[in-house]
Amino acid sequence: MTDIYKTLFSSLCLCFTLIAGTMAQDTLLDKEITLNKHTGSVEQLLKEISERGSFNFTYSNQILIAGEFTLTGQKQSVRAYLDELFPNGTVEYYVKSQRIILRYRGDKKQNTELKHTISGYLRDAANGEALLGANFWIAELSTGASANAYGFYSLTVPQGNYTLQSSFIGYTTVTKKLQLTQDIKIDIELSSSITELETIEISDIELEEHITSKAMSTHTLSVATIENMPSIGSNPDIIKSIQLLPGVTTIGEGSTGFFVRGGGRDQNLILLDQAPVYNPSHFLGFLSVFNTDAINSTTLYKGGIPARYGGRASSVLDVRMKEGNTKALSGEAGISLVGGAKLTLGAPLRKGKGSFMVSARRTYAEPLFWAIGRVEPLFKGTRVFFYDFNAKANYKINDKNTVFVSGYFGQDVNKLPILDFEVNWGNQTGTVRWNHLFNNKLFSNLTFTYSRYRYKLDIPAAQIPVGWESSIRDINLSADFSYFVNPGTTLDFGVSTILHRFDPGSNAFDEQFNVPNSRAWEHGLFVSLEKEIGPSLLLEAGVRWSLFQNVGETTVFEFDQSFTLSDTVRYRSGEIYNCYNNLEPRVSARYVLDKKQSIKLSYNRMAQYLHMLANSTLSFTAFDVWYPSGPNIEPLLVDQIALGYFRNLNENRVEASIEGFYKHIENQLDYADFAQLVFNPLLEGDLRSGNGQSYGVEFMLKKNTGKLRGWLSYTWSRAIHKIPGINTGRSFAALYDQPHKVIATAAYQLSEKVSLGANWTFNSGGPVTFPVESYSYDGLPAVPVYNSRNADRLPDYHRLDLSARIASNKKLFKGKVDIAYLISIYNAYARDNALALYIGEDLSAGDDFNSRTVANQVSLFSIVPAGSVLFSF
Amino acid sequence: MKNYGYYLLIFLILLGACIEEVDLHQINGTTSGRLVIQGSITTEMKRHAVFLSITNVAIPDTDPEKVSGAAIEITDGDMVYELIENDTLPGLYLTTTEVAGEVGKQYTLRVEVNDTIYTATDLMEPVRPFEPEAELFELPNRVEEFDDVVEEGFYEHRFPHVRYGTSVASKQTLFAYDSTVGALRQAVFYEFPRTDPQGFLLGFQGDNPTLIIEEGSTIFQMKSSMSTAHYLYMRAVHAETKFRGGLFDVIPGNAPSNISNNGLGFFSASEVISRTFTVKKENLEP
Repeated sequence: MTDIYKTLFSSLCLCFTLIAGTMAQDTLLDKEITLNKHTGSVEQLLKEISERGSFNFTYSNQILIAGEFTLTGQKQSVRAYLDELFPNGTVEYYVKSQRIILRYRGDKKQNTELKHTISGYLRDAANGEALLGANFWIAELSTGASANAYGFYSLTVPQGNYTLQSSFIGYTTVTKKLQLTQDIKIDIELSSSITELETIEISDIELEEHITSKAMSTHTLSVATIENMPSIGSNPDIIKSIQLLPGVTTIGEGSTGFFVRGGGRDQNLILLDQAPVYNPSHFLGFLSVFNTDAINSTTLYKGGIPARYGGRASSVLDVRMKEGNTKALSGEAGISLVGGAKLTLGAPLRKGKGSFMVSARRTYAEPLFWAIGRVEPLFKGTRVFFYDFNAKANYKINDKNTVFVSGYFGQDVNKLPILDFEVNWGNQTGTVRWNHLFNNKLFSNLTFTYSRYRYKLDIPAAQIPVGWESSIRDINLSADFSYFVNPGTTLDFGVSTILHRFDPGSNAFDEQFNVPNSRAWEHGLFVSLEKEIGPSLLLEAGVRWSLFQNVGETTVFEFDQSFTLSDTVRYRSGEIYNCYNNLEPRVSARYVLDKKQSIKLSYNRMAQYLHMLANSTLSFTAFDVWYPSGPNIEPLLVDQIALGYFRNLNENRVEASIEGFYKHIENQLDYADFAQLVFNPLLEGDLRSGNGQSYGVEFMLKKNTGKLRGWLSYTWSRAIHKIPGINTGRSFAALYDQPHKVIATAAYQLSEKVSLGANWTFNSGGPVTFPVESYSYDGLPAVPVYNSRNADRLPDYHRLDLSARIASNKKLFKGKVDIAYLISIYNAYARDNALALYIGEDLSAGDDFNSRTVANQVSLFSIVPAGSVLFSF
Repeated sequence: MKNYGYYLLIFLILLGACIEEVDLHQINGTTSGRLVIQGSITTEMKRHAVFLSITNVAIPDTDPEKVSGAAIEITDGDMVYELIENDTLPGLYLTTTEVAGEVGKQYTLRVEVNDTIYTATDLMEPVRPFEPEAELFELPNRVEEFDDVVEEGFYEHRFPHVRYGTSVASKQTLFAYDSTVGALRQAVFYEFPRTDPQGFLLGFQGDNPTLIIEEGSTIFQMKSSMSTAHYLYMRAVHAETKFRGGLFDVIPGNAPSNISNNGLGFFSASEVISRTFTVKKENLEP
């Protein structure tokens, strides 16, 4: 199967390249047009030609010969008109990015020998934050570059006089004139226009980005966008926003777990400043660990994943923290019932040299439980809260060296004396980065990260006390480089190595159930070349080589074909006892059909050596076990191909896209019935492995400009698994298979002070397994008998959320602190969406228990109105 | 009577949750008529029982149909014990009174119904000794003043469906005379090693095993051993019945029966110990 679609993909690429090459020859210059006006200056005639031909010219003033000219042809090609205007061959014309470039032939000869590099950083003017993905453009050459993940850009062009344009969605475009006679470093600051009431001017470059960028299957959400979306408990949340994107599904009400294009929950690489976050959930998954006040940018890659990313099979969620205000002390604070209280501060370290940011958030449900405990003693001692702490600092040593240090600490505490139960979990991450400019074309980033996820379950009243603990810890060192070869060519390469330490589970009080600890090295080496080929084709081809080595000291259990323990092998400390390596090709291509439409294609192979084991029907459980590939578990391999058509509508105001994808999954894990994933040293014997496939089509209409912004999307997709030993070997729908999903999200700037938000989401009900019959045993009237896994469906899910953000006229502390109110209504029409359906005892009678066997529907969250108060200065 | 599902509901209501009955009777189709066996042999000298029935619809409103006319025997390889169907209770088959199992022996049940033979085998494991009496009144078991009677001095002694964290699996059965209704009351709970999150959180959901006791009440306690296969079967049955509907539901599956030939249920072999003790004042008000 794999070979078939690899061949198919190669054929498609070949056809694509051939078509592109052919079309490049006859594009705009050979377009036949009829002019209404035949006489005028060169400038007037060029304007007439461009209007009739629906394209743009780019030229310098040098070609604007004085005087009046008359064109004779009635209907002829653009090239013929240009030949009439410039008869002596002094001006050459060529097509680039759907523009016709005109320049003196002498220019080329003169300038090709003398090129200079413009480089620098693109930053937010208000606080100095790097603007990832912002664009730098030279109008006269119709060429440009995008800022990398650190806001750095570099462009090498012939010397000359240029108009530089810098732009980014939500920011006012900055235009500068430049006489380029030598290499130059220009740091550009863009001002946010998000709060302006008037329709925001967005440059053509920015509007055409949707068409011209190579990115497909990628979504970048600004914090402003996320904060304008309605959210549960008036707590804007990155992952809840991600779940509103096409191709992303979740199961369970309000969970932060998400599934991308039919990939499992553990197949998402979630990075916070390049450090992996293994459990992004707070409070049973109702909120994520990402405090938006501390976040600068969020990018989700669903496909076409760049070669610099590795380790997970289905997606990358790259979250970057704010760096802190380089201009002045600034801060944000807020208070809400569900999300707790939060405070974020940012300030320069030494003006112009660096900055820092600290952010903290904590919930405060204790008084509520204290009050309940006064009435009902069994609630005494209940503690349910979580906290987050983010911190980041950066320091510019000199023009070529900048260091960044950041960290995250978060913890959930759930102590429920009524259940004799305490479970705590938390993530810790740390990142140290060193950005170094070898020269203005070679940029490097050396990164050290630390990440740890740990949960602890305490059952003090158990006959043998339980203090179950499970953790995963990573130490990662990586170096990546970007070499800006020329305006159309960028070479990225790098290396990384991670030392994983796994403690899948141990109990200090009773070691018989401990799962053996182990360690593993995961190495990666990648190279990727981005190249513009002709005026319309952009190709990025790369490869990543990954190597995974299991390391002792540990005990490995061997199983026979019936998954019964057959042998036990002990390995010494430091001994490498198992290796896997994989070559992971990544290719993406974009072909611009005209200035309003393009097609894009991508293929990637991803290898994943870590697996999250969770035998749960919902997407949250604190009892996740992270487990490595090894002699009993082969790495997960995913091949994905995606094809998309992108078109701008309504004068570039609306972006439309349709993407289709097919994904093949090898070594998809599943579990034997009633698998024991905690307290089980032999848990590998409960795992089953097979294949999966997912496919689908995603439609999206997105409006980024004007008072009304938002998107409308529809996704049809399927996720199917086939695993020997599960469902008698027959194919079955994955737990997160939701064929239809519709999302409408909108933000409307009603006035200078008031903005409104609305989300409506609909998806097919998730798969569920209903019994086909039942039997009576030991006094239980209905022990279920199942036939096919996931053969039935929950009712369809839909929900409307509303929000309003109102900036108050009132200010605190002599007008230095702004106040805003955020009001939200989650599930505005109070639909009881089913979290689960099951056959069991009738619990609806509450305290008046009766023994009827009924079908029960569990629903979380009816209508949830909430509000929060926000402060900023 | 208090029900700890109520407290769980309070917690869920704080989250805005609700559990409601819905009509799903459309999943009730025709039944396959698969044989269901519930049987056991223990170290007690008594009549040992095997119940035979067939499968019912998915959401049953009536008791399952019993199976009569079967030929049943239990053997340890040396001895063969025949079971005879009870005259008044169809589907119930009993040994004679002089039958008792022995620890360490493997017992096989053989059932022949309509020319089809079903067998099941289980190993009789030794039972672990009783815990101190006082432990029976400590968490996770709960003792609270009984608020359904006018008279003071009565206590509700509740047990979770499963007590986790024991060294091996077992089943406990307790009897005490309930003076408030004038009848003997029975409470049955299981003890499982390790823990299952969904079982732990829903340990007090639904109809909990409960005794109503007072100072001086006499409790008769029995403890039965369970083989590993029996434990895994009962663990699965609990996951599929008592512990469905929570935030940590496991993926549905069929409980791993030891009955051959596509039969359902379980045949178990257990050592049983028992003791009797009197409830002291300090047990009720620790």
